[in-house]
Amino acid sequence: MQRIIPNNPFPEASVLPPIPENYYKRMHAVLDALPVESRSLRVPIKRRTVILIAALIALLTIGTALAVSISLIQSMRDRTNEVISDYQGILNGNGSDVASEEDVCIPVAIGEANVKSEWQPKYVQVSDASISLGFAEIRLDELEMLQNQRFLAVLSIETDAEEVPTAEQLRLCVDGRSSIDSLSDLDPDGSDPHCIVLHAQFPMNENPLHAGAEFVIAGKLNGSEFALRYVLSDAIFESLRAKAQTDLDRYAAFLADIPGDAIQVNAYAYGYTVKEIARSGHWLYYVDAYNSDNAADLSARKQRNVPYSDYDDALLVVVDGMLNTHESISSQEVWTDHGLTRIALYRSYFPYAGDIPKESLVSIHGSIFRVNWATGSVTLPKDDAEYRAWRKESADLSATDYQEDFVASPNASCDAFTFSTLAYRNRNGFPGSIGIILETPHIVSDAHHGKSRQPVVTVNGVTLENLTLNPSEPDMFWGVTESSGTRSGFLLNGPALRTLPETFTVSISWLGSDISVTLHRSDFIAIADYTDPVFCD
Amino acid sequence: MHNQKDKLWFSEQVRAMLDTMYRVAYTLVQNDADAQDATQSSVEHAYIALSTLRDRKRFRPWLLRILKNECYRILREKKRLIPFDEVPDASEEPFNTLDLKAAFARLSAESRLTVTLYYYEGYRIPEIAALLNEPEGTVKSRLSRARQALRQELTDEEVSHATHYSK
Repeated sequence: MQRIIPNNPFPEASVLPPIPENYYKRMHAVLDALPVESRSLRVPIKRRTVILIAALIALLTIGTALAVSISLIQSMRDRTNEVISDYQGILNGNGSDVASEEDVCIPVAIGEANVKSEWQPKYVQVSDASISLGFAEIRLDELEMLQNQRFLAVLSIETDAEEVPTAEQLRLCVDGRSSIDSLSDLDPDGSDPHCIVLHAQFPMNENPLHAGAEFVIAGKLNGSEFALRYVLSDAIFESLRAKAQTDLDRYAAFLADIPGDAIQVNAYAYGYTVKEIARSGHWLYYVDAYNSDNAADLSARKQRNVPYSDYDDALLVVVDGMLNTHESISSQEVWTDHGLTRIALYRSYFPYAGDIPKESLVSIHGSIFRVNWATGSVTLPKDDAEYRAWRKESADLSATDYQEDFVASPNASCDAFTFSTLAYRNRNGFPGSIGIILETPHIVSDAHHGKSRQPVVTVNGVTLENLTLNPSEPDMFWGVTESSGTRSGFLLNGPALRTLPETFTVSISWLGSDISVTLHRSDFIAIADYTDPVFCD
Repeated sequence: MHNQKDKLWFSEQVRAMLDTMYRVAYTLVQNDADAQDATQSSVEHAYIALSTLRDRKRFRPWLLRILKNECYRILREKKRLIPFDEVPDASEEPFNTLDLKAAFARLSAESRLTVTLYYYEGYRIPEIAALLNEPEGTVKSRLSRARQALRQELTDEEVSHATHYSK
């Protein structure tokens, strides 16, 4: 994954030692020894039979794909809808079966990623649950019903004492029942050793929540025992339910947008098979399949330096030269004694909503193919030479059309924020992305959780229409902080840079949120005028 | 507690990052034993906390953040800063390599980390900024200062040695 950096003054061999072999041995042993839940994961015979039949049907389906036209995208969408229905049952207080190993997994963030104009915080802040131990304060800060059907409680422990707090034996009980199934001590930025942020989660289907539910968080802090009791009020409970329902409705609407028809691709490269592709509006959908038997091929991709995101291993999607990352909608995994087969549905920003070209050159996961949108036909490279030629063609398109971007530092400011940077980017997936980075010297958190109003952006006095949050990179580049950061920002889709004049003036206003050190939030209108002309080059 | 498929997924991700993790850890703690301890500990912590990771696409920066915190914890516990005494003996390495290592070790921990992420791990400046929770300008200036400091150190060393040998 190493990039070639020109004039690197720090040649690797000189400052970092070679990695000792015993390190790999040790880490592999650590990974092998990681515990798993005791429940048997072997697939029951009856289920194996079902899987076998399903596999046979799948084989037959592939063989007659054009005739039968069963869409994996449609299948994944429908299965995900079933998961959503289960969640709806939980929200309705009906409970639900525990998800089985083969059930569809949906990412918890997709609802937020799909937000366009109705931004709402997903959690409920708790303002009256704290306990003081003299040297430290322990607070229950946030509660949230997650989309993965789990309940999240966020605690924080702060102290002014010199001694760094160490929390031990933490327990979370709901209605007298020990409910915690995961607890993490996260100090995301590592900058404040005197603050511990704890995330506790438990599955809601096993612990039905209700108004009046009693939470007790107990443990030891620097040797002192404590117990924090909190009763879920009617108002908080209803608020949590309402927010979860909003997420659910949004997700259901999002699923409804996924097209049922699809174009068969079946392009294999480096461990992944791109099975199907479809488009709807600004979104490109696709299903890929991965089998753990092909893990070696995946390694080969790295050795061949096939491009993929070197940030989070999210593989790049390239449509007519435009680079983009993808986001996961759902995945379905099947375990057998031989390994894992995973089928996943993704979406990626598609540059053409209306006037689409007749044919596109698409690269996903190292595969490359041409798709004719009118006829639904797909052409794969006939040999390795053509594969390389098409990859070069795609790379050339990227280099010529989508690599331009600029960053301006206009230093505009309002009462609470200093707008340090305005970035206009064309790379990484969007024809025009306006990124605004905020410096917030006295604010613990940022505008991220307070995005309750669509920003208004004008260029040369003309209001840009149809601005949306960049859904693929909600906080990838813009450093939305998770705790005590001082930097935040957001990214908006805008018009293609090449459509703008050479110089222009940008004005931005939005509803920001100032979250104080006591985590009380107040909203305000922030307006910034980038009065100095912004240069395109 | 996680199930088997979570474990396999987690292990796959970590195995792909072992080299990066070691380099980042070594960059901060500056010795092999602590680097290995920090890596192991951060992997164990991350595994326990895996279900709190809301977006698995962000696993990589998330794990590196935990690793960074673990390295700082080790440094805090040992109440030490930069271990000059662990710079390899001059007799074991070429002269200019030793200078470079010593100069690198004299950089602040954050500078070393920034340099490692940028030059050895291929991260881009916005990504490092997001990872370290700092403005891009800070990362850029830190890189610039690190380069300058290194050049200055090496220049000084060259002058010093040149003077020494000319005597």
